[in-house]
Amino acid sequence: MKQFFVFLLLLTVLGGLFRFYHITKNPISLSIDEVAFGYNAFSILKTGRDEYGKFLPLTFKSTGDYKNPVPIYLMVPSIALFGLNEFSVRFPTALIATLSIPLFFLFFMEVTGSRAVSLVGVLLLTFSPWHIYYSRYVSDHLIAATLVILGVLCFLRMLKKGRWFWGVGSAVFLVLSMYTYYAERLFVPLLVLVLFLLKGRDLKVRFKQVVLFVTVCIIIASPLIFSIFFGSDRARAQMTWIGNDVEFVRNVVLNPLTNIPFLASDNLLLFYFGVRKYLNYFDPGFLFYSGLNMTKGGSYGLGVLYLFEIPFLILGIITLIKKKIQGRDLIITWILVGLIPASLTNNEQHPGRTFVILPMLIQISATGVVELFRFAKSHFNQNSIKLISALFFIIIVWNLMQAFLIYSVHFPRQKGEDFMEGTKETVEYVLANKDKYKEIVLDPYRGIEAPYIVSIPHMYILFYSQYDPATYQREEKIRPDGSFGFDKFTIRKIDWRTDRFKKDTLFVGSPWSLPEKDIKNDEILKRVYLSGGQPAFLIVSPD
Amino acid sequence: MNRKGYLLLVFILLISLSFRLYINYFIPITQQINLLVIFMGLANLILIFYIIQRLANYKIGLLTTLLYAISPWAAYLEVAASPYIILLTFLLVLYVGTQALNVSKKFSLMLAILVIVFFIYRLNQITIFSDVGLINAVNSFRGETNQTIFVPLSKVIENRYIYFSEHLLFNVLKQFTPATYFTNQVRLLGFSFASPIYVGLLIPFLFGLVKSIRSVPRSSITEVIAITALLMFPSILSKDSPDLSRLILISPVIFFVINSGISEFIINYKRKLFRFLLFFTLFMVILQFVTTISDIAVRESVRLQMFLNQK
Repeated sequence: MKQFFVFLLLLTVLGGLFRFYHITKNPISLSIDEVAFGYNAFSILKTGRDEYGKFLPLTFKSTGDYKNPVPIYLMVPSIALFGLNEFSVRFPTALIATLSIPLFFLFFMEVTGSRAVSLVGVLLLTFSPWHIYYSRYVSDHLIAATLVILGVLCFLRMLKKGRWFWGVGSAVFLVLSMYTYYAERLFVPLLVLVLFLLKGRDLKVRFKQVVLFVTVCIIIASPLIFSIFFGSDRARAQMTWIGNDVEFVRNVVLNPLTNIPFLASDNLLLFYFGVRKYLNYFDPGFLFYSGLNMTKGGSYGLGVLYLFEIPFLILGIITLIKKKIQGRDLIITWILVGLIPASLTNNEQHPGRTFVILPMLIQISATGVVELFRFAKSHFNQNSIKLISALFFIIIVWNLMQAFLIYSVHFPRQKGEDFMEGTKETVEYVLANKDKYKEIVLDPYRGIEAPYIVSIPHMYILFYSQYDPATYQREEKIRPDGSFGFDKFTIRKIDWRTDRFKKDTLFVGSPWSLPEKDIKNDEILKRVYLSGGQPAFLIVSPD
Repeated sequence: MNRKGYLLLVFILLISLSFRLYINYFIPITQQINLLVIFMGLANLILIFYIIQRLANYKIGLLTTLLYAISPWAAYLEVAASPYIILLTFLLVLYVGTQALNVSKKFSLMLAILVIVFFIYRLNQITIFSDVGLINAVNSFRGETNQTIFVPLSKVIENRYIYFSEHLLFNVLKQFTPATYFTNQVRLLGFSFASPIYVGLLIPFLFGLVKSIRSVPRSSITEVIAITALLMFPSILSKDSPDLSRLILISPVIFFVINSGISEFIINYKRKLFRFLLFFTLFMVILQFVTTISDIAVRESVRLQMFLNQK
């Protein structure tokens, strides 16, 4: 027993190491969402209001994408403790991710009842590329999934022990997960329905606790339900709706078409398109090769599972089909239901939107590992087992080293732009030289191949200057000419043909808006490059 | 099989022919319809029916043939005169011939391997080895790692042999993605939005698959894996894997598995769940068939034009 606890503790420490080591340096920079989360949390800490001056909101308008409240409120104590910086912003997610290692063990035990499967599961979780990736930056997906695990764990305990506080705890955690990430708003009600169907007999025995559970759920969820149907959350749902998917619009809507018969209508084809998105999550490319999108499109990166997990996963699936192991129905339905929210949204496969299925995929792999050992024990002699284990060990080590290279070498070089690499450097320069200029213009458009990324440079200025939230909330931000700005900063597209004549002005933009060939060498004050070597920004002041 | 059965088979052949002519009418895939390939397609239907009726019974044979006939997969390839339709005919004839002549399984398998290898070699279709993208990816990875202290590690981990093995494994696994067969994830002929097999058939397919996993004896597992690998072999070797044109070779097997699922529904018809599943499958298939027919008339030619313009 003691050995077992030591093992679990070791895994938690090791898991913590993977999640905290160089957390401020990899991912290479704070993403748009991270600075927005961070500054809003800072604003809440200082004034109790968000950047728009709204008092303790349940939905943060932020950059117009209506962010969920839980990750922001969780960040407040961290910022109070460590100040507004990269570490304080990423700390809560990494901490929750580390603590979820022992939590997952309890959850696996509750679902499968097998200590072997649970231990192997936790071992796989400690090294999981999916879990590590989402642990190292602000991830509402990970926080929400952890809350779901806590909620279901409490729910199962409620059915087993019959104590009222498990029911209340379950309701609180499950509903909180819905306030944390969008996918959970659909997943959690469906999961509760599944739990009710699967545990029907137990529910009758614990009728009072179930009534309490449902009541607490309704009470806590009511503001959210109101917001989804009548408030700002509706806008977010409309933004990400599958019907807006580029491929669907390009191939089905086909604007010039009129008088389309009902059976060829967009709605029916949209249904099939949704099914396709759903089934596409079973693509081995997503699962084992490039699902985490850490390298440039098409090349080999990291999947949500390791390559060495392929035989374990296959064996786990076969075991689930052939044997009626404990928790089988919950594992299968969890995965099937967990993919629904992601299938109803636009864009390609999204590992964050499906993060909630991670525990169950790990359980299947863990079941496969245990089955393999059982099979080997009964069919092979000791020497053969040693040989097979050694072979697997080599493959696993090779695979982990490959993952290490991708994470530490290729990911920062190939995906720096997605994390707005270079923005911090430019903002630090701008803040250091702010007093020398009358106006500082920042162009929000950037990109290596084309200026297709619209960033929010003002938020990076607010973040790194720790700009007083109360002042920012009061300031008029729309200028008479229609541009957006505050203090000396103006955020707009730079047109160098006219802007080149503006004296005492500092311009920050990508080479697309500040073409080097049109700028005198002494006008360029600084060049900022991505880790991959491509130019990201030029800082220019006309003579 | 009785007279009604033969009439039904003829009826299915007519449906098949009409569906192909319908596609050809609305989508100008080729300038002129290739009657030889269409004829081969009809021959495939008869051969599939013959094989399945011997493996199971004539009712299952008719159902398999019907599903094959109304699915866009073979229909599109036949209209486009895909050479893999002809290869499928060869393989089906080979199977029927070896069965009739009582040739040993090993010999039949060897013969099938020879036919497939000869065919793809003649058509110069082994493009996996000439994938420039893969070599570029390896070089780019190595170049990045060379800027760090991990160069020795990179030599072991990031060499072309490792990546090629991974690529091959990836190609093998990609053949097992359900979205490839039951949705338009991989476009038929590069442009179509029609699913190769109607998605309503996914549920009976899964039932059939589970039934097969449970019932296949351990001694036959190697045989099943060998046949599956053989039929997927041409697609695995493709640079653009999974390649639906090449995967047509495995389609009779998929339809057979689907029908084992449907027969499971029919056998357990008295149980509510299975009755529901049977009607649900029927409803879904009919609905998607009609939707596909309408979509072919309305949008497919526009998509083909967009595809050709992009090219």
